[in-house]
Amino acid sequence: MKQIFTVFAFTLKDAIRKKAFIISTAVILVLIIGGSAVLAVFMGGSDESDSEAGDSVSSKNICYYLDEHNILPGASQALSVLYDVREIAPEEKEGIVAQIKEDKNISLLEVSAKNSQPLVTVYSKDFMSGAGANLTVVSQIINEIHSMNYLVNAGVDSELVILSRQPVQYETVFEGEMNASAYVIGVVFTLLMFFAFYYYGYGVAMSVATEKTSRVMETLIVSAKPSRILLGKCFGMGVLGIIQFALIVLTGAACIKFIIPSELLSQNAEFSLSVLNAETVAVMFIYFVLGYSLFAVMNAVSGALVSKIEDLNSAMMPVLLLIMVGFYLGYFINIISPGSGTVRKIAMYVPISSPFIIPSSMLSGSVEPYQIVISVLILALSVVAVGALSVKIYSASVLHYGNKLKFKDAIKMSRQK
Amino acid sequence: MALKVEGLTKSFGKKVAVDGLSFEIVRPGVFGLIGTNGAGKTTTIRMILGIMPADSGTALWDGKPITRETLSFGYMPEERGIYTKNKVLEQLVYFGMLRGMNKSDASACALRLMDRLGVSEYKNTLAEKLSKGNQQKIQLIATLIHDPQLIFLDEPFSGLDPVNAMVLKELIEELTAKGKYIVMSSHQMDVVEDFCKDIVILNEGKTLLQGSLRKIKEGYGHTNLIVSCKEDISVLASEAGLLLSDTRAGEYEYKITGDEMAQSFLSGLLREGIYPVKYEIKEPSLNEIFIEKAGGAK
Repeated sequence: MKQIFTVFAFTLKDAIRKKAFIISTAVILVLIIGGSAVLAVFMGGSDESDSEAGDSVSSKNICYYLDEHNILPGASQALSVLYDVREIAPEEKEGIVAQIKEDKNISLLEVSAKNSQPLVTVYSKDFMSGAGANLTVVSQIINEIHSMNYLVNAGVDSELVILSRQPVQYETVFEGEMNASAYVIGVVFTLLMFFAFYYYGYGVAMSVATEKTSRVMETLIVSAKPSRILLGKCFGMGVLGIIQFALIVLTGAACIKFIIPSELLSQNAEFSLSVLNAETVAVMFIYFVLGYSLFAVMNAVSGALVSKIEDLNSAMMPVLLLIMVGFYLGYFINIISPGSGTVRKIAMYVPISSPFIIPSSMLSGSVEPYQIVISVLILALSVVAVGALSVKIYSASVLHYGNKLKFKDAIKMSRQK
Repeated sequence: MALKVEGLTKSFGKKVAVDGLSFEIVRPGVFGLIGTNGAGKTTTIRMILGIMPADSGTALWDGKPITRETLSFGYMPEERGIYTKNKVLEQLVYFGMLRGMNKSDASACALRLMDRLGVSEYKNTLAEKLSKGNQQKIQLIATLIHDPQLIFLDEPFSGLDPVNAMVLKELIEELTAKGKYIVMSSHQMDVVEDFCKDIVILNEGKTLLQGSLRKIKEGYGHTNLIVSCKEDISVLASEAGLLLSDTRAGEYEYKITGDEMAQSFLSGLLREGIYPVKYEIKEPSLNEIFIEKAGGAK
C-alpha cells in the first residue's frame, strides 16, 4: 500500500507540474470566466443603456407612435405591452428621429398607406436596439390589430374576432422524470466522461511509455511490484482528473454566483441543477471512477506494449475505439433516441457503455435502482478482471524492447509467468 | 549468506538465451558475469532478480527465492534510465521511498552518496541537464540508496571517462570492504580482472568457463613474456622461437610455452651483453582467455 501511495504521489505531483496540464487547465478556466463575462456584458444588461439589447424587452423603452390618418386604430394600445408607447404629431417626428440617432432605447413607428395597404416604418438606432431588434413581435401584434380591424369593419362581431384569435392551449404531462435540465446535464456529463476517459487514460499510457522508453522502468520494476506501479499511476492520473474537474466546476459555480447576472438565469427558469442531489452525484462519481479505472488499466497496457513513444498512438487505438463505441452507444441511446429498446437494455450492463448510459438515464428517471446496482457490480467486476489481466500483461511486456508488441504476443508472454 | 544459481534456463522462441547456468557466490566481493553482447548476461540478472520468469532453474539467496520483499538488492541496468524531466534529488528520494525508506532517510542517504560521488551540486538540477557520466552516477546512487546486501551492476563502466571510472572503482572497493555481494556484468575484461575473484564466462547462453579467476589463470601457466630494453632483440627472439604478440613504447610482448623458454631466452640475452630493464613472465590476461574460449566456441 505504501508503494502504491508513493507511486501515486510522484505521478500526481509530476503530472500537475507538467506544462500540458497547467496550460489546458488555465485555458479552460479562462474560457469559462471569459464566456461568463461575455454573457454578462452582452446579455445581462449591466446598466440601463444596455437593457434593450437583443430580444430582451423592457418597459423602460420608449416607442413613439405616429399614425396621422388613424390607419391602424388600437395598434398603439396593443403595443403598450411591449413599450412605453407615446403617440406624437407629425411635426414632432424630426426631433424624435434626431433623438433616436443618439439613444438606443428610443424607437419610432410611423404608420402610412401604400397601395391602399398600411405601411409601418420602424425607426431605431440600429438593428440591435429598440423596435428594430424586436421586429418579429412588433409585426405580429400590428398584423393582428390590422386583421381584427378589417374583420370588424366587414361586420364581424369584435368579440368573435377576439375569440377566434385565442390560441389553442396545450398542456404537457411527462410521466417520467425527464426534463430539460436532466437532459442537458446528462449530455454534458456524457461528453465530460468521454474526454476524461480519453485524456487521463492517455496520460496513464504516456507515463508508462515514457518510463519504458527512457529505461526508468528497469529501475522501478526491481523496486516495486508491477501491479503497485500500475495502480499508483492510475490513481495518480485519476485524482488529477478529479482535481481538474473540481477546478472547472468550482470556477463555473463562482462565475454563476459572481459574474453572470441573476436576471439572465431567471429568464431560463426551466433549467435547474436540482436533479443533482447526493444520490445522483454519488452514482455519477462511482461511474466516473469505475469507467476511468477500466479504460486506464487498458491504456497502461498500451503504454507497456511500445518501445518508442511514436508508436503509442497506434497502440492506444483499440482502447480508444472501445471508448468511442461506449460513448456513441450512450449518446445515441440517451441523447438521440431515448427509450427502452433491447439495445439499451443490453448496453446498460456492458462495462464499456454503462458509464455513458446509466448516469444520464438516472437523471432522466429511466432506470430502476436494481438496474444501477447490477450495472455497477458488472462494471466493478470487469475492472477487477481487466485490471488483473492488465497487470499480468504489463509485467510481462514492460521489459520487452524492440518492435511494438502485438497484443496476442503480450498475452502469450504473460502466460509464461 | 550465499547466492546460489542452479540450472537457469531461458528461451525466446527458438533462441536459447541462457542455457542451464549454475554458479554460487559464497563470500562477499565482486563476481564477474562475463560475455559478449547477447551472451545472456542481462537475461541472467533479470531472472535472478525475479523480474523475468525463468523457463527452469532457481536462484536462491540463503536458500530462499529472491524477491523484492525478502532481500534488499540493488540493480543498475545496462541501459541507464532516470527521469530526465525531474530534479535529481527528488527522483532519488522517490526511488529510496519505493525501497521502503522514509522521505527524510532517503533524502539524507541520497545527499551523502551524491557528496561521495561529487554530484551534490546538481541536487536541484533537472537530470536531462547532466552529462552522461553524471547521469550514470545518479543511476548508481539510485541503486545503492537503500544500502542493499546484494548488488547487480550491469556494465557499470561503459561510457565513463577515466576520472569517473576511478571514482566508481573506489566506490566498488568500499562496498566490497563493507562485505557487500556484487555481481558485475561486463565485457570489459580489464575491469573485471581488477575486481573479480570469481567469474562465469558466457557465450550465446552457454557457460564456457567458471570458477576462481586466480585458479583459472594458474591453470594456463605463464604464457606471456614482456621485455623492455634499448637494443633490437627481434632476431634473438625469433631464434629462440618466441612469437611477438604486441609492441608498445620500447616493450615487446611475446608468447611463450613456459618458464623454461623464458629463462633460456634471458640467458641468451645476457650472453649477448643485453641487459633488459624489464623482464616479466606473466599469466594470460582474462581478455586472452576470453578470446580463446569465445573464439573456440564459435
